[in-house]
Amino acid sequence: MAAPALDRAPAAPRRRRPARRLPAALLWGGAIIAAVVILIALAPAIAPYPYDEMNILARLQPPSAAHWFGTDEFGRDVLSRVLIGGRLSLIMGFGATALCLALGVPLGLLAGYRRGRVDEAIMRVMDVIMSFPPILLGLLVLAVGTPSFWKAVLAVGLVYVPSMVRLTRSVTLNLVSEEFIVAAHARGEGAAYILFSEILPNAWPPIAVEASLKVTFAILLGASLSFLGMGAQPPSSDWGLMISGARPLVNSAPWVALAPGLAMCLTVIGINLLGDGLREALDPRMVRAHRQ
Amino acid sequence: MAEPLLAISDLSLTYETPRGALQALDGVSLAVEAGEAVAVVGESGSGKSSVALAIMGLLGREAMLSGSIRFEGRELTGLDAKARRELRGRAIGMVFQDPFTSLNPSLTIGEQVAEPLVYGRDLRRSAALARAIAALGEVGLANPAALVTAYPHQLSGGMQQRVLIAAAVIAGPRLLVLDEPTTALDVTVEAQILDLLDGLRRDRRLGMLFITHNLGVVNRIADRVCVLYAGRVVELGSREEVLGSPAHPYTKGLLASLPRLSLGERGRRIAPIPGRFPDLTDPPAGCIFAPRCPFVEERCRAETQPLLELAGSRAVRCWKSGALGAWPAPGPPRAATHPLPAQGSAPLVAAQTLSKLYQRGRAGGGLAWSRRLGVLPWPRLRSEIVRAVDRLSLAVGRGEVVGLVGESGSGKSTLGRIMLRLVEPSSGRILFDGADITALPQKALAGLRKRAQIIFQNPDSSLNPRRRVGEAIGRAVVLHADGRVPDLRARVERLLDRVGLPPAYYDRYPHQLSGGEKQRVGIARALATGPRFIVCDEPVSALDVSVQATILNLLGDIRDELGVSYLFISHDLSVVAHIADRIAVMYSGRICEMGTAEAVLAPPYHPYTEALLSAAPTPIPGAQRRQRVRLRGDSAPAAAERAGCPFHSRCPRKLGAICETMEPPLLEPRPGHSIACHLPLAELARVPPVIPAEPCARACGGFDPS
Amino acid sequence: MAFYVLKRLLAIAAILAVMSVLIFLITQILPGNVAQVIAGQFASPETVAAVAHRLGLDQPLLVQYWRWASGILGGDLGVSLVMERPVAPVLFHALGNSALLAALSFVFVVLVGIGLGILAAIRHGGILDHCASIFTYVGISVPEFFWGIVLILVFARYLDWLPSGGAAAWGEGLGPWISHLVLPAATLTFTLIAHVSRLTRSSMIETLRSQYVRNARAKGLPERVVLLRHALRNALLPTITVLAIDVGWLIGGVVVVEAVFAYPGIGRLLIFAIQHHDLPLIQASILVIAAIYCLANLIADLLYAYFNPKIRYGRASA
Repeated sequence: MAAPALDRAPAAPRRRRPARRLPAALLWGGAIIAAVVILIALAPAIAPYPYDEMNILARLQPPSAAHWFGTDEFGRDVLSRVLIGGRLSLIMGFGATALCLALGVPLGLLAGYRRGRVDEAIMRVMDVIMSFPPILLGLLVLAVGTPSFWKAVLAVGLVYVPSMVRLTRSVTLNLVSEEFIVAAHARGEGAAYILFSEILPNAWPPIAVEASLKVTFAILLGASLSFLGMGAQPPSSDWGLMISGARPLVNSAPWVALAPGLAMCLTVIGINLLGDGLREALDPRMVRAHRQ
Repeated sequence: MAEPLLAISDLSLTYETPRGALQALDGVSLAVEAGEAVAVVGESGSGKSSVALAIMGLLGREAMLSGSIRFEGRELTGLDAKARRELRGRAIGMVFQDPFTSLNPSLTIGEQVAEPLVYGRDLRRSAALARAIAALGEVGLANPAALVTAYPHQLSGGMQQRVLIAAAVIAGPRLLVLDEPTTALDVTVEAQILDLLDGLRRDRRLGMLFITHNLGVVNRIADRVCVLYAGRVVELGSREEVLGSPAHPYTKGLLASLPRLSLGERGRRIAPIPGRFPDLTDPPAGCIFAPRCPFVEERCRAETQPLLELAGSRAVRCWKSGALGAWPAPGPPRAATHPLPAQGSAPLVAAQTLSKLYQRGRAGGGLAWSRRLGVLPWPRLRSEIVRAVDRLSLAVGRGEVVGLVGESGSGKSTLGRIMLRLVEPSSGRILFDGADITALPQKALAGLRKRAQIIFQNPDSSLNPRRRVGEAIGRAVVLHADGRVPDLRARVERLLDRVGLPPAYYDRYPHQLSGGEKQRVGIARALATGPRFIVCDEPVSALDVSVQATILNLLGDIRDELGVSYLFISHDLSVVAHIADRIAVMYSGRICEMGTAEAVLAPPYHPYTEALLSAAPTPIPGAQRRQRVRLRGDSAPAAAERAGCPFHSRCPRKLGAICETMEPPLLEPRPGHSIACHLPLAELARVPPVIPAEPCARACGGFDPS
Repeated sequence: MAFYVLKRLLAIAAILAVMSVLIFLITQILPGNVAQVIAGQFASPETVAAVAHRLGLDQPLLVQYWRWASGILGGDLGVSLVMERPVAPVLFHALGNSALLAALSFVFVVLVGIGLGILAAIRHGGILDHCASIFTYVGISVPEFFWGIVLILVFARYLDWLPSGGAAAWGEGLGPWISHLVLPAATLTFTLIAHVSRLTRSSMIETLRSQYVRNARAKGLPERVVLLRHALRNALLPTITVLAIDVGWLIGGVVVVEAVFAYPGIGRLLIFAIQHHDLPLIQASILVIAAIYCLANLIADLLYAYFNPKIRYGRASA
């Protein structure tokens, strides 16, 4: 090679990616979620009272030093119940999202990669699922027989599969026509390699952002179902069911409803912040804007 | 002397970035007189678009501007928003680069052309629409009255650009700012638009600021030229001066690194501009071009260069411009040239009557009824069959470079991908090394995949952004090796070295590379399997001129050293003429002319080849005055008009009905040269050569030392 | 365009048909022995068989479906098992109440949500934008039932301005009628406004960055014209799709809000039916709600097509 023909860089690359600061939303969201998850995970150890210990003498106590969030109509400690109840709400959020990812991502990849009839078949099924309003689909699955928490997780997970399929499919469709995918075909890669080693690593950022949204949707929808009596069943409890149970007490003991409600809001805001921060950190347009 | 129409002086533009202040423009001065076209030329990052946006007052809030922009004696910087707005459209019009995104998709053409009058000149809507029809006619659109109610998506790219021009001039501006107005268009359409702009300038005595990266276009349109490098004016002067005897080293380099549309180019290396574009947040001390300049001296690195006035209106930002020689010629190729195979030996790859049909559904196209089972009426969406490739035959010999030229939508990329079995043909055969591979299942194609590869156009899309360079290249090595490859890293580093990249690039990610470097990685990846045949799909189209030259040299060297065959696809005739042994000209899925490069570039021409050649802009002074063939219309025929010769709807030499109905015969002016046309050979041969003779050999870089 | 409408109508009909099968299968088949559930855990086998016979459960599946579906097509939604009354009048009375609540909220959502989103986008980065984004953050993070309870606490308990639940009949006068609607409607609106304004904002910001908006500015158009004529129209296209999705959300909200405020609508009817295993009532109300949702989607699709010239005029070759 003749030397002048090089647009060779000096030893250090000039177009180094500038050290990017993590978005504030990501840090705040991460901190909130870490705190919530740790508190809830340690709930059995740190809860001041057993969550189902009744104390008729201490019914409907307002918040005090002994009971930070007061007590409910059976004299149970609301703080302990919020901590324990959070477990089911988080399991609902993450479990349903995991289910939705496990079903939605492979289906979306397949539809976007294969196109044609496979795509058509998958998308028509999704259309049918999507033509139910979310809560209705949840209720439909739970409608008959005895409601149970795990059925609710299943129902909520299924509700959000179509949107995950659609997103994954459209990301895949965009990627499939990228030249580096054509290059992979040209060197004779198989479908599995292309899907999982070439497409998926580039598809996951939008999927991750979408999944973080789904966690909040699932927590909210799960709580709604519990609130309607279709989710967690007594004596176990999640935040939705706690609020539902506290509904008649709103006038006399509002803290019983407010405590789990605020806990849920805090959690959901935390996850939303995390999702927004994630979007900001992963959005290639933002990256490019940073570079210019 | 009276004040010029537009006078920019000492314009500087700074952006705050996370890495410090970025100096996008530094002391830019230039003037435009009424009725004069001034071209601002530069590569990407030169800041040429910022000049346009600064004049229009459309820079974002984060831009820090200093200096002065005077229009008809009135200072524009510091004007309040209202005063600026009143100037836009009425005094200064602007046309942007991309017609596809610059028109509002949900407003009719008429509304968009008429609205500067409605909102700026307080005309009634009906009167404004009438004026819009006249303006659409003025920019050469057929049937303007019907176009008024059309929507942008119903128009072709060339028509959209005409609409944008009509909207920019309808309110009677005295200055027109054009930001790469023809870059997104095909070369024949570009020629039409340039003619239109030239006419408008004459008729209306418009001042024009024409921003472009293309020196050929500059030669076609500009009276004076301003060369911009890294936000600084490096040279100013008349077109003849700047293109004919460039004074600044950068201008010399730019001109030298252009592949020329002329005979005897094959095998010649182009002289590129070495080095990389400077980091504008940390520009080099002294002359900004010093790190890439072959004439550099100690003084260049020490002193910031002022813009020196020369005779006439000429100015150069180089203290030794008077004493410079020609741009240094490139070194000879490293290895001995692979001899071309003898004529008539079996080709390496051959396409035989290949076709590729797509069915395009047309939303709102209505229903077509057919009968099922004899009686049942069966509704079907009306669709049209698009013949991307139409019964086309093409062979590539061993060690041969076949250039495939065509405009967008001609099906050239599809053809390239079919020949690699990346797209399945609808009919026809593909032979590779004598074996029919048309019907082989994908799993049985390992042999082809190893020996045939592809290089892409877009450096940003051709590398997986989440893989290191080494992994991307190494994967191809591993995939086609039997068993493990113990010396993988060493082999990849050898490949990197082959394409001129240091071994340290093994661990880099694509986003850490420049466009040219990415393209080199793409070439290394294609070489990794040791291919005999490479489809180069517009490999230099997305690159700046100076980088384009290095990639063309690299591809030429590889061909010479390894004896690889290329199918070299490009829309740019000069690039193809530079590298190809044989050229095939493709139009609407068919090949209309094919032959050796010398044969295709000289008469007799197919009428389409003739039009392409005459439309191709070249930066040779005087070439702009040559006779030009102009095509009607700007898009390939719809399916319904495809009978006969596909080119008949735009052909300037159309004979008559025979062209619309009969497939043209293959004329053979000499063995190996074929032209598909109804015109008799004798008549085609009467056409004078379209390629201009070079006044001075290329080796002197366009500068005559005598 | 006509073809597009036809296509959408056919698709909706097909989806409704598939849905009816799904609803039927899930409610009728999945639980195992419906008759056992209805007759009670301790019923004798004879009772269960009698119940099964009364419901027609001993007949082949296809016959059962045919009976049900043909009944619906003829306007007969069946007889409620628990109330022992025809389903249709009960259902449509409740539906009327819900529709009122939903329509009221929807109008608010459209007006306020879109307006807020546009303002935030125009004043991108300003104080209004920041306030709006905090508001939307809280809005999309608070479930309707909790928000409803907070409203009850504030406006019914502490301020005592509004009733905490139920609905008033027309006969009781306009005042009570409206006052019963305010809190449920406000609850429904809150979340959705947050959602709509958030998406309108981002789509408007994207449009304002587009080439054609820049081109419109370069033509010297007044900012008002650039915003309203060039940006808004295109920015609202995605919002139409979002609104259709939000109708689904609204329906979910209606179910929950009706439970919170003891509002006699179709959501409460459905929950009642599910709790009492009233099969015909469950099937009918789910089918009706789903049909309304489909209709809303159809309207959104048509609006989208109407405002998008690419669909309205097709792709004519030049």
